[in-house]
Amino acid sequence: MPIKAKLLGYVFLGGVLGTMLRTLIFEAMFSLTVNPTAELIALFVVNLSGAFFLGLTARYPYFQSEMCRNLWGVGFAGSFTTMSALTFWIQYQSLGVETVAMLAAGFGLYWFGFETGRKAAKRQR
Amino acid sequence: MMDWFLGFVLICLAGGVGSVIRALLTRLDGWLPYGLFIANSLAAGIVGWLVLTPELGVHNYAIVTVGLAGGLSTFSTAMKASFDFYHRGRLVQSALTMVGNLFIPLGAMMLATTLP
Repeated sequence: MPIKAKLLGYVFLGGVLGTMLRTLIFEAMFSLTVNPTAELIALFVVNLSGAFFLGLTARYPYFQSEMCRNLWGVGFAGSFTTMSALTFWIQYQSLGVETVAMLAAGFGLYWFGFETGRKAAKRQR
Repeated sequence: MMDWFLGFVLICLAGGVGSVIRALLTRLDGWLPYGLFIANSLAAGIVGWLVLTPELGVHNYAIVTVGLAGGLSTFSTAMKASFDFYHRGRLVQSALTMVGNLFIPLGAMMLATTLP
C-alpha cells in the first residue's frame, strides 16, 4: 500500500521537532557535565521518555488520527529517540549494565505509556 | 551565533529527512521488523563510517550524524516492535527484535569502521 505524501509531510515535521528537542537536550547535558557521563545521561533521558511517549500515542485517544500518529508517533517520538547514539556508545565505551538497563527500562516505560493511554481511552468511552 | 543557528536548523531538517526514510523503510515488515533493522543499521553504519572521515568538518559531521542518522535510527520504535510481539504472546520474536536491534546495528557500525 503506497504511503500518502501528506502523511510523510507529518512524519517530516515530527522528525524535525523530535531532532530539535533531542539536540537541545544533548547540548544542555554537555553544558552541565562532562563527556561521557553527559552523553549517557542524555541518552537515558531521550530514549526512556521517548519510549513512554510512543507507548502513550499507541492508545491515547488524542493520538488516534492518522495525522497525530504520524506526526507525534512515527515522526516526533521516532526521531527524538536514537539507536545510533546508543550503538556508538556501546562501540566506543562498553556494552555494560547501563545498556541492558536502558533496554529493560525502555520496554517497561513503553508498556507503562501503552497502559496509561489505554486507561485514558477506557475512561473516555 | 549565526553559524550555530544555521547548523542547528540543518540538523533538524536532516532529522526530518531521516524520519521520512525510516518511515518508508519500516514498512518492510515480516516475521521480524526487517525494515527497522535496516534503518537502525544504516544509521549506525553512517555514524561508524563518518567518525573516521575527519575531512568532512565538524558542522557537516553533526548534520549527518546527529540529524540524519539520529532521525533515521530509533530506540522507541524498537521498543514498540518488541512490545507488540510480547503483547501477542510471541516471546521469541519479541526477544529477537530486542537483541537484533542492539547487535545488528553494532555489527554494521563495526563493519563501517573497517571501510577504506
